[in-house]
Amino acid sequence: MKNPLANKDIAIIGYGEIKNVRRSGRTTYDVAAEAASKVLEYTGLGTKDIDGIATVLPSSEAGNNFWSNYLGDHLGLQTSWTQTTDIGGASMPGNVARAAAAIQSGYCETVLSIAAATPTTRRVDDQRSYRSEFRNPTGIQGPPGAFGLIMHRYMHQYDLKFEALGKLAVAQRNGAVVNEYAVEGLRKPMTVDDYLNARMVSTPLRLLDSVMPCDGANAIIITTTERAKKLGVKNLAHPIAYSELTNFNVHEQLPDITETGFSIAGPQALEKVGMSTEDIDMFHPYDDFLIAEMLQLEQIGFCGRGEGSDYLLSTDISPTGKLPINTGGGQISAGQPGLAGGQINIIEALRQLFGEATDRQVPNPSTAMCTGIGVIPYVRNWGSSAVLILERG
Amino acid sequence: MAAREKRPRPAPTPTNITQPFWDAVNEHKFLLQYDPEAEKYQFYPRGLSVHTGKRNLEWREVTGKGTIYSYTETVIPARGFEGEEPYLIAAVDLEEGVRLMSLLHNCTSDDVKIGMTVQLCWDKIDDEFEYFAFEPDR
Repeated sequence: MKNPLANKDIAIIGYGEIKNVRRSGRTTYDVAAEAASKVLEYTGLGTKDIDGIATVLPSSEAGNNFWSNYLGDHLGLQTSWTQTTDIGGASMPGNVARAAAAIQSGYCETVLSIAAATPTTRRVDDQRSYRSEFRNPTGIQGPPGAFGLIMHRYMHQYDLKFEALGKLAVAQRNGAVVNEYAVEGLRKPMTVDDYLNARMVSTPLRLLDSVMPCDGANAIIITTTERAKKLGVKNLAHPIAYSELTNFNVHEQLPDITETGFSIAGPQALEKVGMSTEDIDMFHPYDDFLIAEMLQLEQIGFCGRGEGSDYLLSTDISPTGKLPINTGGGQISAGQPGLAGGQINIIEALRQLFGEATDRQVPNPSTAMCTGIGVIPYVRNWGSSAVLILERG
Repeated sequence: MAAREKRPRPAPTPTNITQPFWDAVNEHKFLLQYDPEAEKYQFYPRGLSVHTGKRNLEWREVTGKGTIYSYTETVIPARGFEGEEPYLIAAVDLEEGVRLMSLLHNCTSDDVKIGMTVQLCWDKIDDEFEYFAFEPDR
């Protein structure tokens, strides 16, 4: 299987992340500027060293059809390659692959891949298609309602143990407690009972199954391994495999909604680089809801279909365990800065691979799998599934 | 917690694609797009057949009978449904082979089951617009 990332000629050389805050009152440009400034400082680069920009269209700027133009202009970037990706939470892992392809094709050499969103300050998205006619008038509670349907169907077909989801919630909360960038209100320990007793939103989905929306931003810099070495950067990680699938099963009118594009993209990403799940030192999945992480574990192949509950209950998922999961709290416990949340897990994986995760450091990791999820189509599971495998350089 | 202020239930704005569908709903008829070449229905209504990519779609009236594929009880209400919680939403597989989602009436969370048979019924959104919903087929 063709893998354009196989020879490790692409490197991620730094990250920048800002504190997740609810209703910050700041503009999307200002939070982006803080994240950009941080990653430039981390790498020792200046604005004139960047010749490519990749970003995601956030709900706080969704009415702007020149988003990447305005963002690059605000940040003082003259670019020969400019990319806005709009597959939601799959956009930022997607941008690593898009930036790598652009660099390999010679359109640019050094890309700022930046995600910024302030949905708890300003939200201007207006999604039409099926939503205004066939979703909003039904009274379904948005994504929690859609995942309520998915969870009940999963329970019909398989065995769902809520204490397994509770264990995952607690493990991620432990990460958020020691993550200075997490939403401050979430930095309190919780128990499995707290999860089990949490208020229902849309049965059987509870409040603590869900993310806490907030404002935030994060950025990474992607370049050639050759340039990274010339620059003498202190840390680098290679993207070594990537697979993405959008509109999984779109032709089927009665799809199994417990199944997602990860059943294809997950095994495919591993196959591209000749790895199995045993070769993944830590898992940083996109986590809009806890059940989404369980579905990914099953469909990527960490365990069998329907075995997610038992896998979670029998596996140490803490930073020192067999498969550390979302060690910084993920979006569920650190907060979801809108679609900028789609890069939080990549930042945490880099922090771990670079040995900079302090209180939550995974012992000497060399590989990480990060994922992204985008959109919820009409009465289906999510629409975009992205799998990115990173290796310490 | 203070009760949430009741806002109007969102009404669909028919488009050039969906106008025949909503016109029919307002006459208590349910139309699906049918691809005569693939011999398959599709939902939601689109500008072409997802099965073949052709714009040869026909509107066909269907019975509105089906079975519950999944369900959820909404506890924190969506916009326009404040004060109506808790209420049930069902994903329903119609006999014609498409899946729909809407409110499930005349049924409680104790009675709802995956696989139970349901039929379409009608909901008034406002004086001008009706919407489709489901109820147990008894």
